[in-house]
Amino acid sequence: MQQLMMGNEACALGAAAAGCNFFAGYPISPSSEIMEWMSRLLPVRGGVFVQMEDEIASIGAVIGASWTGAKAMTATSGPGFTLMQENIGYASMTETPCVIIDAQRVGPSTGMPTMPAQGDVIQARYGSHGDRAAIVLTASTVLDTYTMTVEAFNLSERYRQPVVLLLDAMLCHMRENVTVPDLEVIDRARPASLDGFEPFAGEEFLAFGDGARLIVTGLTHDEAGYQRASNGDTGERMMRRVLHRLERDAEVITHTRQESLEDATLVLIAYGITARAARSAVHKLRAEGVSAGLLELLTLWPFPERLIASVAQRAQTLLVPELNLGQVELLVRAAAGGTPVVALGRMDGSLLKPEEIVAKAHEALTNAEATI
Amino acid sequence: MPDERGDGSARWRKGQREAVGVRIAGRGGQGVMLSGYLLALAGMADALHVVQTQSYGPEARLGAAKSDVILSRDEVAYPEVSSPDIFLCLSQDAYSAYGTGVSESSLSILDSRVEGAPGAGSAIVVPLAATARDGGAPFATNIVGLGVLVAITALTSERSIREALTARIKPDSLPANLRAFDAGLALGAKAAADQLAGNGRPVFGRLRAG
Repeated sequence: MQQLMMGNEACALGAAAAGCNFFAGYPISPSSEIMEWMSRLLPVRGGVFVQMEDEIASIGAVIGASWTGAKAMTATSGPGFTLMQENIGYASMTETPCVIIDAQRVGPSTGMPTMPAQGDVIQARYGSHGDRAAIVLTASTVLDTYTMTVEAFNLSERYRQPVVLLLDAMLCHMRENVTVPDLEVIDRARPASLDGFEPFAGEEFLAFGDGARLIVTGLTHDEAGYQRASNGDTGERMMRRVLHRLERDAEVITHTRQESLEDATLVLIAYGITARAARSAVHKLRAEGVSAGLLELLTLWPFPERLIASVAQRAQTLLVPELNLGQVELLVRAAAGGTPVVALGRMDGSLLKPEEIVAKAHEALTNAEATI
Repeated sequence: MPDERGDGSARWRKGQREAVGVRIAGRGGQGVMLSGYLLALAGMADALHVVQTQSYGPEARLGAAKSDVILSRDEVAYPEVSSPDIFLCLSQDAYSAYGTGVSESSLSILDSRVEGAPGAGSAIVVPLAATARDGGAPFATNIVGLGVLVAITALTSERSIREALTARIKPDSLPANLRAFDAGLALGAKAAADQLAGNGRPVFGRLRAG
């Protein structure tokens, strides 16, 4: 059955479908409707909804709930996401499955609370200190918002890591007709036996009160959970182990949409709400006879650098439109080899329009010819 | 023209357009969000792809507000209405704020108290607020406007709008809103006959493609 659904509503319904049974948050535009919906969905399903005193407490409650076995989520926007960074690092260090929705708005600081942006891409990966494994997803349609919320839970449960889903003010408040799909739901694996079980050795997860004593600490620790805070070797080994899992499964974690790439000399690399303008721009450029194609990224981290390298090898020019001043452009540039990368960014709260992308594409192609 | 539900794509095939962008603007509180939502809901019932966006800041509460709806036979790529094909405007301040995108090819439907900019496409001027007030439902200017819009453009079926109203409006104010919609339909049919060249049939098929 088709439903007319708002992005924030789709996110909350996706979370419920994924089995989310704990939500803690602090309201902030443009994410607040996610919280509002969770407050309706969870109590009637036997779940727990808590409005906390701030975002630091919210992510703290989410991490604690996850260690009781709950599938837990919070939703926020830029300023709140920044406050959550230390605890996101804690969730990463303690290998805690949880989902953080960040509805991006224009920053820095309080910025433009109701206007869309894509300025949190680097923060989602590097906002917390230290190197860590990070999974960051995004979405460009209301249907995506539903499916990627489910995927965020699935990946967090599978890899025992916090997963961030980046939305934006436009997508959050936009309505589209959606037929809700039936999606697979993954739950964290429990250890087959507690004999010799080490809580941080593998991907199996044992909750508090589930038959063994656990030490959960943000200090560097070994497989058993014992502090090894002055043993650098242990810390690096533990972190590389998680990074290795993501590397090993990169194909499964990396979601993209590829359109007209086969013969594309000009490739647009776009994500989130801007991918829609980019798609429209590709259609316009093709109609003009320009061999343009689109690589839409739905997984931002781990960043699909190998895929981009192979696309770059076949293309003459890469164009990266985004609602920031070059965050993904920087990453594309690092992966593109010698292929020229052209940036098109803005952070004024407006979307990039297809016509602006088309104009930039023409400019890039003219410059490329001049160079040759 | 038969008013059957689900014939949206069939009716649309007679026209030239793949997608139509509608902007509804008015003062916050006039129900522009609701009417955009109802139009999107009706479009969905008519088997069209719809995208609906709206003002979200403080202007949605008493300032000039807008709701944009794209109705399309195919999936909608870019979600914003830059230059509306149809511009339904309920107040002068909203015209000033959101009439900027109106172009030569736009069709504006304006309340009679709204003064449109010269050269801004074709316009139909109708007493939306007065009709709502005379019908005993001064709060339903937006719904009168929807009636006019549907009568003139046939973007959705009348039945789908009535069903959307029935689904979303509280029972105690539903009859007044349904009457306001019917009054809008009559007003639109008459206005099309008086103000547009032709015989008052929906003008949608005559909109230029592009």
